[in-house]
Amino acid sequence: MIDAQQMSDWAARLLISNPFPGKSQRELVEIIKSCRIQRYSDGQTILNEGDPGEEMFFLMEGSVAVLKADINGAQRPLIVMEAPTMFGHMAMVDGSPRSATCKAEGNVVVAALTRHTYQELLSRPHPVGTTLRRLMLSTLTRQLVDGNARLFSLIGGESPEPGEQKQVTRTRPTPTPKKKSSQVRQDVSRDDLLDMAGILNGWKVDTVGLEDIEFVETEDDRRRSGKPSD
Amino acid sequence: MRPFLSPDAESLSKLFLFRRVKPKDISELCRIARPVQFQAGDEVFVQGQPADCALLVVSGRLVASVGAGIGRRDVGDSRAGEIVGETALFSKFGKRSASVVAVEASRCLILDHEVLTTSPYNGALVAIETHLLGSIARRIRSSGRVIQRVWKESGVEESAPNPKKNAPSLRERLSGFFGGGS
Repeated sequence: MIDAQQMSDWAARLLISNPFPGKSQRELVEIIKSCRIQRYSDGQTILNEGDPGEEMFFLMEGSVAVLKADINGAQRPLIVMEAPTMFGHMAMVDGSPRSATCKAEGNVVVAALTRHTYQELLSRPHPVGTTLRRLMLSTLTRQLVDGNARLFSLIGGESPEPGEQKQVTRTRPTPTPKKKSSQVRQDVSRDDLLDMAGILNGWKVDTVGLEDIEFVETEDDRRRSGKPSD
Repeated sequence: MRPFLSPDAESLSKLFLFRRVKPKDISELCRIARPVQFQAGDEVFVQGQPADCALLVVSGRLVASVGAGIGRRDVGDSRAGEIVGETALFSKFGKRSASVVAVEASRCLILDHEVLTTSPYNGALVAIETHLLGSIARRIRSSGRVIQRVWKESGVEESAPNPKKNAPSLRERLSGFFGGGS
């Protein structure tokens, strides 16, 4: 059982790494409450590459290894995600199959949001719906921006995005040697392609430096938190 | 009785994007989002410059192009009801990933953090955000497909009994798809 305080702390940490205009810890907790809590032990598969996606996951506790099959079908480690983060959300947006396999590393707790609940919440013009839409937009935007930055650094252009200025990732790196993305190189390796696919698909997310981001509180946030209006 | 709509609200109310949005929500969006006009040939965004807003095209046409190294290619055009520069809305300290030029006289509404926070549950903004979820996901998938294709082609060539010595490098292949290359 995850108690209210744990949920609130988790939501606060997720909002630091996934900020968006009008972000609301309280509404994020409401979203988690509408999820089904699932527990996995070490090595258990949470989702399989190629399967249809009917749920997205909020990683509440523990670590999840992301693996992608290479051309010979062998599973290659891509990254290890650590709580708090979300994964499997691309399938919710465009109905695409899972782009990688996810396995628990040690004991893991996830909150699973079904497609039905996702769609119901998303279309609502109210605080919970707005929080879910903007959390998704913030996450997808970061995937796109960081993916573009990686791409431009690889093909030798000046990166148009700030992603490569960050130096440390919250996700744990795989055994593949980490390369400096800001370095303009003569060629691109297949590991680079895998790396970029990981960024675009949301498996590799750089969160350092985001703590500094402050978005303006909405009038509604102020009213509901009991703060005086401007 | 149908409420009075400003010319911008009238134009927006006819768009597919806002087909399910109440006229009062469209009017409110037009009230809180500042309009901006461009003449044909005007530079709207410059690649690499700081990005702090997106534009909702009310009328006219904008064309985006991307350059890397010495190359540059058009990556799409935007007409009424489309949104340009949307990554700025959910990514602070970002820079423009493409340059945008008005190819016709164009009128747009400026969407920024202030608009998003002033009226977060406005039906027109809900429609815009829902539309953006799909369009950003499509951009991600489009890049992902190219990377997957280059990955597969290179894997096949690597495992071939007689690999081609003059086959293009991975960098050249990527540049061919995304524009540029120095």
